Amino acid sequence: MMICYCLIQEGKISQEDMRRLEIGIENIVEKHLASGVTLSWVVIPEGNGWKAGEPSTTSLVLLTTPDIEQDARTDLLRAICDLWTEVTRCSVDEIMVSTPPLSSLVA
Amino acid sequence: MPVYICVAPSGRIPDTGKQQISRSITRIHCEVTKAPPTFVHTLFFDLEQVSSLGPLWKDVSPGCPYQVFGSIRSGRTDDQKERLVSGIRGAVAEVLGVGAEHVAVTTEDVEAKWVMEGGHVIPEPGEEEAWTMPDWMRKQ
Repeated sequence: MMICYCLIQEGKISQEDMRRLEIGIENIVEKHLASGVTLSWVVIPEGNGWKAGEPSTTSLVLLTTPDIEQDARTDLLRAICDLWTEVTRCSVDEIMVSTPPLSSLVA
Repeated sequence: MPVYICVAPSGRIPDTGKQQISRSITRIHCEVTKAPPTFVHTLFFDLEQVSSLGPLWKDVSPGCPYQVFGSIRSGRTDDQKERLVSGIRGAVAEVLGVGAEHVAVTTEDVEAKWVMEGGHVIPEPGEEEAWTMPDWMRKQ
């Protein structure tokens, strides 16, 4: 089972879009990693998210993966970015996705 | 990327100081690494919230009231990391008006190839020019 943390800026993504993103991520993880995923949302309160010293509108997604080839990882990253921009209508500069291998997180 | 997460007990970092801290961190990160400021993230959380951050957060120095955890691209030198830590520590202490001994800062390397931002897998340190270039210019 993979784990996914989605950090979003308060008030930027509707509940309906959050549900669409959840379904989309579940489908992407199933397709790309043949796995399930446990997803957690973290809302960054207004005034607490900054990018380049200005208020941020960017979402940050962290999804753990097994050890996979870089081509597969790039496809996975692209799929999540595309999902995010499609569902939320944000720009590509407003989504950052990180996919560390689970093995890198084990101390 | 980078992502700097600043944590303190609830209410200890005034709202007015958050932009100052984010700008100081951005400036220091860019001065030390020569990376563009475009994608320097600074996030603030109450200490009570960090358990909800999973692998995004690691305790920097339990017991220290102000903690900063920076996820930075791997490939930075030890000297750069030391300058990041000492610079950010001093800047946060100055904004908050506390002694530097009350601020703990650490960084952790993240492989650039694991991250996509701006629609592209982020480049290795020193190869940022193409990343921040508009698509039309990159294709020429």
